[in-house]
Amino acid sequence: MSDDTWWIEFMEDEVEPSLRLGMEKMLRESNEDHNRLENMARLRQWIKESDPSEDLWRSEVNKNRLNSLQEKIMSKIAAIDEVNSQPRGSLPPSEAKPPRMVARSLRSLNKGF
Amino acid sequence: MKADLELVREAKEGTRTAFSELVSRHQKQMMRVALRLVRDWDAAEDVVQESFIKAYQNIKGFHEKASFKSWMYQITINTAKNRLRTLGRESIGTDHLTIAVDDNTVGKMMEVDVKNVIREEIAKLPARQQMALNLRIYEDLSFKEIAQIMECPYDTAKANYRHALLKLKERMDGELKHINIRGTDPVTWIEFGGQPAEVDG
Repeated sequence: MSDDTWWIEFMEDEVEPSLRLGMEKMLRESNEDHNRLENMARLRQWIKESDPSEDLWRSEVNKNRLNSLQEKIMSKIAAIDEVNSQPRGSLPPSEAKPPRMVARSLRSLNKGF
Repeated sequence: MKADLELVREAKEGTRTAFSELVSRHQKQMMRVALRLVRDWDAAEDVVQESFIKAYQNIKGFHEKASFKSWMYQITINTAKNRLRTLGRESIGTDHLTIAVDDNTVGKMMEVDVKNVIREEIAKLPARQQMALNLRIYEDLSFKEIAQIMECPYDTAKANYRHALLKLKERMDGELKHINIRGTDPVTWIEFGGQPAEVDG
């Protein structure tokens, strides 16, 4: 692993405690290592601050819309339940059974879960 | 407060209010991740609605091997990717934001510039590296959770994240040497075992 790789592991708290102690010592004694970690940490901070959704997320209009999202989702689910609770014969053929592609994508959802 | 898996079990038995509670708990996070991928509020809302409906319809097939949250992340990410494919956007393009910066605030201008450069560079990364970076830095997920969502081994999830960071470091090397946006020393919080300040939102 390259030096930078080690410092990424350190920064993400993915190094074993015994190794971490040695790396902390290196940080205290080596300016070069200190700078490597500092740059990596700064880069991570910049990435966090560059969140592309931030402007949209902070909009007051959108915050209000988010409050009604649960209601929208649950009303759609209620409508689906209502359709499903009707006897099969009463449904138009297009609604009686999900299209094959949809059924396949639903089956693949639980892979590994 | 009931645990997610308890609510999942109730939803499997047909209790719609239990699923409603799950929606309430996770809709914000799912909205945020969808927004990052599709970059449009209406489209993100559609993605989140479709994702929760898929989850509801398939809840009996969720075998509780992972958390409900991880499962929802996976459904939302896949739904967002399908949406982008339908729109003919294979990957997220560069932002074309209008940058409004006070002429006197050079630091602010540099900050905006660095953010835009980073967004552009992230958009150039391979999709799986972008995903690992996104889930780790923006969603604060563990590598175990990232591996579950990306359906790959733990080490692969970590490698995708590491490669993304190394590429970005290479591309941002000049800025890292010359700019210190906040004038803070990021190493300080690491040495004391803390975390950097979260951007509220």
